[in-house]
Amino acid sequence: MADFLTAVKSLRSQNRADEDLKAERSTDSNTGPSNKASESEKQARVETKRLASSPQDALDILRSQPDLDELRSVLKSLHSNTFCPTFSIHSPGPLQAQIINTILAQTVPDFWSVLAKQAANSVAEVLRNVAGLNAIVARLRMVLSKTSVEGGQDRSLALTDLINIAGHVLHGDETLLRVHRNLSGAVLNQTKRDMAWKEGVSLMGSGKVLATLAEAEDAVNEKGGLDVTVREFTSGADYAAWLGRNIATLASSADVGKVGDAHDTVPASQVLAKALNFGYPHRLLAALLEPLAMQIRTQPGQKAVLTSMLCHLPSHSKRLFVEHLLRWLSTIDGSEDATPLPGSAEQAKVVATTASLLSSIAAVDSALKQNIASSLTDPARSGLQSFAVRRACIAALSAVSGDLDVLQLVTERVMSAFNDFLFIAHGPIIQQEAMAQTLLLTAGYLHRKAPMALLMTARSSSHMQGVSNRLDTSNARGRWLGMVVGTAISSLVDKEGMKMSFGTEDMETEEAKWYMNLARVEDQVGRLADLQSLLTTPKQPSKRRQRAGRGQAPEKMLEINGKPTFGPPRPPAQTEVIGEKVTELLDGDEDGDEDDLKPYAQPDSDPEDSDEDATLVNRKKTRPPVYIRDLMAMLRDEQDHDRFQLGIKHAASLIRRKTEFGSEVKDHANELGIILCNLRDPFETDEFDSLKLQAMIAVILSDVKAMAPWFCKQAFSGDYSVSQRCIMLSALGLSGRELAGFKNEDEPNPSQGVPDFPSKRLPPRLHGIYNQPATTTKRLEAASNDVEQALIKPLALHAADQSTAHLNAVKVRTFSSRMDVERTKRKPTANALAKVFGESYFFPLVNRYQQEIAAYGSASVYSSMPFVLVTFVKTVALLHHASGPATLSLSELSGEFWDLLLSLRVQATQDISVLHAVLFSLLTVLEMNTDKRQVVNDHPKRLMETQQWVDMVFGWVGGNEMVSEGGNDEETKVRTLAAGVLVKCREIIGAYQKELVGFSMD
Amino acid sequence: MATEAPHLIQSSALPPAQPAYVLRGHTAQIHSVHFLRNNLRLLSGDAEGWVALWDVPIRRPVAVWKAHQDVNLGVGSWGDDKIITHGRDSKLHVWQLRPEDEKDFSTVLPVNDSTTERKQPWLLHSLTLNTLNFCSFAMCPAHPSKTAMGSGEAQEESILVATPGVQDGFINITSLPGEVRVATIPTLKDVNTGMLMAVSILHQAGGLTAIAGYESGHAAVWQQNATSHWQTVYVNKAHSQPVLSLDICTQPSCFFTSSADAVIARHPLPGSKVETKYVQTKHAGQQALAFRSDQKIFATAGWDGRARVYSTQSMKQLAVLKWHKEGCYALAFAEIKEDHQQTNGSDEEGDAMVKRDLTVSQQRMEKAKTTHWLAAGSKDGKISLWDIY
Repeated sequence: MADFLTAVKSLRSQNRADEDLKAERSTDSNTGPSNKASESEKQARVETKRLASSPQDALDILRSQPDLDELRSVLKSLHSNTFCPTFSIHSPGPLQAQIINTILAQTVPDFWSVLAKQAANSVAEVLRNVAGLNAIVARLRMVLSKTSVEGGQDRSLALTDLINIAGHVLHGDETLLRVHRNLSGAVLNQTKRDMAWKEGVSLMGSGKVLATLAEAEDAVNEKGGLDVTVREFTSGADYAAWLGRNIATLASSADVGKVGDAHDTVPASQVLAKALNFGYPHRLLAALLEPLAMQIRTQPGQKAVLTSMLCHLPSHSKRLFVEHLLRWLSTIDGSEDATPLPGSAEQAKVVATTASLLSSIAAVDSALKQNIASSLTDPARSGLQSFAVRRACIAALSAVSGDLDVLQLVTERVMSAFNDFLFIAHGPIIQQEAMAQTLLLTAGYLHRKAPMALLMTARSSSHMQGVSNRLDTSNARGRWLGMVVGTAISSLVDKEGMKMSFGTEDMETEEAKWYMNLARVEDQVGRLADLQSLLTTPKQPSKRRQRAGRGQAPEKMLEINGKPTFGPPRPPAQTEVIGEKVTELLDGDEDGDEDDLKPYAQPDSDPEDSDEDATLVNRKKTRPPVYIRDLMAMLRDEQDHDRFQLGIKHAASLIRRKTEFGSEVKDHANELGIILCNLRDPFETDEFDSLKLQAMIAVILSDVKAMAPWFCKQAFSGDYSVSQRCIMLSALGLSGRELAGFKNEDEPNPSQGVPDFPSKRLPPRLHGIYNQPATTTKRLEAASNDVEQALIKPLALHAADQSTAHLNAVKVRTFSSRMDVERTKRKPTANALAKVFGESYFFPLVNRYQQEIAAYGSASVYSSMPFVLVTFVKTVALLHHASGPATLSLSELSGEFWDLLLSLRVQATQDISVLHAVLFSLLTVLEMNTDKRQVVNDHPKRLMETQQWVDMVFGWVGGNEMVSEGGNDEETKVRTLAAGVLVKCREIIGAYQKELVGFSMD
Repeated sequence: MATEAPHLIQSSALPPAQPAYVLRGHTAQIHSVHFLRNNLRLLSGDAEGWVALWDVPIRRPVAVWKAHQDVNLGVGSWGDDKIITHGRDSKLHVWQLRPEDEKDFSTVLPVNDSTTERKQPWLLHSLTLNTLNFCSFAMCPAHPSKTAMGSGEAQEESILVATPGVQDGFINITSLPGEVRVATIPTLKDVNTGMLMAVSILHQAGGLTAIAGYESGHAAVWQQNATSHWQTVYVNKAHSQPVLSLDICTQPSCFFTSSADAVIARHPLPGSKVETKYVQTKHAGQQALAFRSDQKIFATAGWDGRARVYSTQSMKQLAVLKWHKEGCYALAFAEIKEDHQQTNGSDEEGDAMVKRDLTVSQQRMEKAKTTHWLAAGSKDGKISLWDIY
């Protein structure tokens, strides 16, 4: 404290005379006992302290460059309500605005950096109200509006101070509560208070504070001066979490004991309504519900806090709340997998707890209940929720609604959506599955409550028609779902002997049984008190994972004597030393004969010192990883350059070596995958992307059935960058090709014939940065170019043959017609990929894509970034090609893929790279479906649409100019591809016509 | 040698050496190891002050106690029943631990429990020293008539102990059991030697000789002149880094020093014709250097985690003992029995007769006594035992 005082004194010593004068003047004017002018400065200051007795005085003192003691006393009197009841700094008013403005404009720049913690807190206390926050934001905006040139260092300092003070004011989970308390203490008029609070809500609940602070933080030159606490208010996600915690504190402070007056939670619900629109809803909800859940666990009565807060939300916000809540719950319950087949007791517990939360929400009012119900009936939304959450929704609805209306309504709506003809034909499979599950669950509940109601529904024409719609469809999975639903419902309502049964094999599978059992699932609504444990459990695995990374050093190596693979080579049988052990030592001539001691051989490694100078020797030599755990630790190491590089260099080979060796890779596959997906290169490693890609491929191939869908999921989830997603897709594509036996073609990294760059290149470092996306998918590009060549070449030859038909007479050898060749071709053999392509690669990828587009629309990177879309489409096409004509359920796959491609027609016309990818994929699909008759039978509409569209594209791309040799490379390629697709289409149609009418109409 | 089995291929090198056993039990760095009682016991001291006495035949601890509150600098034995430990807590303790007392002591190793106080042996002497340095004590018999090697009859022998003095670079010599200061040797004149890093004393040519290695890299030999003043008879700066260890070889009469740099140096003792010689090993940081009792070979424990065995005569490297993953700090050879050589050379029948009479445990003890052990203690708290030459 003492040094602070001296510092301030020296700062304004030149003003000392003024200050004395001022002190005297105020003494004269206000108080009776006057002091002698000769009294020491200190005493004079004591007098002024006493004299800040009215708000106007306080303002004057603040304006007249006070010293630290004065400032402290003024601040103290301001925030401790000395002037009560006539004046409070927290109520809105002109005088308050002046004081606040003076503090920000003068006091803060002068004093903030030297204020002790306590004094800083009292400044923050004075500003912790709506006007204060507004003023901080306005002041920041003003400073920011000056350009950095004119502001210079001062600007940066001013910004740092303002950011820090904002951090001080906002810091903590009780800020909102304190602002509100201050306000309600200061303003007694209800209307005025509401007005002021609304202003505060729109300030804090929206992104204003965040945006301003983040911009200011960006503008500050040195980040060193900023408090750590400020971070929370400059990142959106953290700010949302802060808001959530604050809302929770504010809401739970409300006295909900009095049921009659439930207005106490109105302020909290106002902020919540605003915050729901702010973005980052998951963080907001997590931070909001965790403290509430904690309170509910200790005091079950606190549940009313949540319900009354929700009750006051406007109806639009209620809908948002329910929607975000369900999505968020889907992410935390952990069972996010597409087919959550095992219904364990653990899941039942999760469902019960979730249901308890949802039922207490649904019980609030009918709007919330309707929202939950509509989340089940809307296929797009339902498909986004996890199975457990849907189960919980149904359990909650059934528990809450005394009458059957809601349940019956949900059942009927779901049924009509599920049986809708368009939905069957075009709905993504993942949504269809979700609807089937919901339907069966609700049917079960309805049946238990009112068997009659279900019977009516089951007999209704919509159900009967629906089942037959489903049986009609060419989509095998959709048909199967219809059969399952029909059988399950019939088993509920029909008498023994009358039950529907298809008696086919695919109704006997594990999955079918699981679906059938859904109608018998009856979840209990659990206790809300368990919610806290549910919210905290998902964190455990990640903790364990981190700990697992730091493995013990591989010191067991030598103990495994039985395994010759480890450790240095064992000595041969001869262990006795041969030769005399002691001989006479000869003095002197040491350089003469060798003594008879036979030297031992060198061990496997005995490196010499890295440096002549003993002080510079590096003794921590890193060894290549031997265990997967070592590898993971090495990849996580962001400090040690050698260790990281050694790790990434050995990653792929180690994983491949260990794949068949014990369960090391299998046990850690997910963890490895996460590390690789998130891996960034902290050391500018050479060939980093390629090494990472190889490692990913190795992980996928270690367990295709588990890891390929896992990577598909990753490519669409999480906060990954574009290049990270592209690398994942590349890894999927290339691993599929390797599985299909295309390994050798991809291995040597075929050189692409890099064209000479016309002008100077960027420096290598920058070139790497700007050229990054291209490098991440280089391998994939190369592979797709190869395939494209392979597809186009026969067509081109054929075309050449046709165009020279008039020379047939002189041709030594004619190219045989493709149809003839095909007749003699043997049936293609299925490769390893063909067996697993659908379930491990295709459906996870395509379903996730559809889910992504359904959820985010054009905001998704998969639709806003053509590059990502192209990579995705090419990956699927390549995999399709690699998997070949012998793929299991080829027709279904092709149909699904074809639909996807046709849905991209609009985007393809906007971006030529997308167009290229789509045409390439269409050509692949046509090529892979070798049975032309089946194509015509299964996909007549798609075929015709494709032909029409490609015809149009062909005319449109490069149509207005002659395609010359050296012309636009990309357009030439696209034209070639379009021509290829057209030829292929005609060929198929021609073949069909030939079969139908005996000759081709063309 | 002509009678050797013909099928054994005489290659030019033996296979790489492998440890015969690894003693795990310390949690901290091993700073000193020492064989005693005819190689039946191994004493080890670590950086937390723990001392463990190991039964070499069965490789189990027989006594574990915390001798010092700080880093252990050195351990030694005096006769069969007295153990000397030297720690950074300014103490040098002499403990009495007779073979028949061993059963009373805790055998729980620090790795299992490093907090509980253990029973300590009977403390005979405790000297307070300056231990603001890294130098371990050195000892020799008080009377030159009996050599340091014949430890068997040295029960009642009094000894001299050399320790660093109060001032940097000084050496104190104290006699035990009398606890009488015998001599104080000053540091070198005109040279800033820094701390004393290693010391050794021996009786030579009728007088007491002290050998000192200093922080500056100097090695010096001190002898008492006629007026019983100590004076240097040999000074040499062989190392660019502090001397870490030195040991004496009596035939030829010389001593070797190792240092934090990569050089091993041979220095002559007074009256010897041996020339000073340096060997650049290219492995910096040789923490410990020790001769085997037959003086044919010596070994160093290096910070690169390898112990290296050299031939005394040629100073050429004979073996690299690689097992530890971390630096080796301590090294000791077992004593080699002369009579063992005779037994080995005697006819098969006699040998078999002896063997038959022994019980299994006796055979095991006999084997432990006669094995040419080398013990290396490392930073990782483990001690590896090797059977070398």
